[in-house]
Amino acid sequence: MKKYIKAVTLFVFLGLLFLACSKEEKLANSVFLDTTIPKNPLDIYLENNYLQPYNIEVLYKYVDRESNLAYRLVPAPYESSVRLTKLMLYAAMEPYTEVTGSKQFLRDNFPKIIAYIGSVPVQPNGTIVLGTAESGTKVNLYNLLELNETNGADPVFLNLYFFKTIHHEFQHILNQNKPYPNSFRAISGPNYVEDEWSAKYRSSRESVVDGFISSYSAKSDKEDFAEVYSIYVTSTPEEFERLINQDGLNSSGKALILSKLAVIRSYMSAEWGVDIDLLRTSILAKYSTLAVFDQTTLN
Amino acid sequence: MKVNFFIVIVSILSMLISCDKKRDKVFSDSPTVRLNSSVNNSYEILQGNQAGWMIAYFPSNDLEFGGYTMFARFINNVEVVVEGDFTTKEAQTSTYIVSPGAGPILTFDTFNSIFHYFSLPGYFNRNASYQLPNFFSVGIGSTNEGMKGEYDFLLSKVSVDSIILNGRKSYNNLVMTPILSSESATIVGSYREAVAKFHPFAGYNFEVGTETIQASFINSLSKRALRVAGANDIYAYRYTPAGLSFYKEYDLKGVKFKELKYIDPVGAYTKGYFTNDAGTLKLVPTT
Repeated sequence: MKKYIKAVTLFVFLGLLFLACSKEEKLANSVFLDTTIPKNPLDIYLENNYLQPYNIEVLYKYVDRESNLAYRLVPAPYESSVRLTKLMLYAAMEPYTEVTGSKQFLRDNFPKIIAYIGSVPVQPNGTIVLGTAESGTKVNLYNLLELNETNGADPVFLNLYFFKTIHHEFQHILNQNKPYPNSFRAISGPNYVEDEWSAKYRSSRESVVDGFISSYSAKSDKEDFAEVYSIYVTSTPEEFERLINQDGLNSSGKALILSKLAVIRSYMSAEWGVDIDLLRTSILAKYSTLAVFDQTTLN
Repeated sequence: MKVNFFIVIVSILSMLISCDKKRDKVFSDSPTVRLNSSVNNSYEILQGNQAGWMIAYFPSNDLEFGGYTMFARFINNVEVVVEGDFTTKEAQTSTYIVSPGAGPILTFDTFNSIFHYFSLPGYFNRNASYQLPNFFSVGIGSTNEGMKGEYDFLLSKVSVDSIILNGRKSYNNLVMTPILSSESATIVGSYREAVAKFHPFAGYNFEVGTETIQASFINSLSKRALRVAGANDIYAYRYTPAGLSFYKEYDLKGVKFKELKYIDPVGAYTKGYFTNDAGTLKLVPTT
């Protein structure tokens, strides 16, 4: 009986505890209200040409949390942001649409946030960072300060600071969605050096000897895959040949790079329906018309 | 039995405190409502003074580059027009935003070649294409940090009389004061004249009481911050039409000062001197 009373007492108290704060209240309208900011021509262009068709947000104005707080950086100039917005759509994104025949491929897989930064991150030793990405969703593009009419027509400049980074990071996203075959990793096997890449390979000439198309390729198979891909699709056949022939026409390093390229070609075709040679042809065709491309008219 | 008694007591106490909601509110509105309100208020006040605002701008947490005066007109909810006393470059228009954060956050969010000069790493400011007319013609500051200026500020006080900006990296306190419409046509010119008049001074001594204390520039290029032997402070200042305006109130040998007015050459003071109102401290140009 005693036990029964104790159990009832505890049950009643526990029941009261559960019921004590059961009153529900509606949430008040406590959301932050965006201040009405009139849209300028670039805002409208981005809405119509990036956000609506591709679900891509371009942050051309500085947003601290989307920047890189480890470095002293400045915002991008408005005019350069207009140039890059038009150039990226034309020379880096439209080739994918042409090759796949639809905008859906980019809409599904392209980096969702692209942040423009005016300067480049400069390290204490004076070396600079060309581009960074986070979690396969956001890409920071730097050095818009230097993007003017002349540089905007120069594929070497555009590749170095913007387009190679875009293709590189895009490949990472594709790999996250559909992994590439293990046969790629086996080509350079144990020769990846992780964070020693910059110390071990001071130039692409040194890295090509060991079968890496760039110093950064030697970091890991994941980076190697994205490097070979991004360099291949943004280089002319002559530029690519020159790069891989640095250690001779029949070097073992060149053979390794070509083996990797073969895996990439097969992967992109089988998994994504993208012929990387057609893609490269399309990209290079765009590059060949940059001299007459209108970088600034927004319509 | 003791255990059960303990459980009952804890349960009763839990019930007593669980619904204690009847506390007096310190503020009548929620934090969100107040923050939104402060953002809107900041926009209104920034744009409210059509002649614009004068910014006492001190880059770098260490203040080694001294201070500069900028003039900003917030012409609508997006655009701001900036000029500086340190350069003759024409007014530059860029964008700004006030966003909610720890309070209203003012960000100059697209590049303005005058305002963002102070934030450029040496890697850029050593390049002639980023240098400003009548300002440094060589690089300044370290390759990776430059002058360590900021363009992202917490507005810790916003009123029609003044706005206090806290640098979000340096925590420096910058003050914006409204420009009177009667002085709007001439104020930039008068500050530029002050720079042209005072910046050529290439060395200073403090005179306090009977003591003469040699001062030296922290940065020989910017020449807007001094140190003296044995003192911890860096005396950072900017030029004004009246003389020198320091970052904060400093103390040297027991004499406090923040503003020093310029006195024209007289007697042994062949280059004139700067002094406080009481005349108890002088900063004397030596060369």
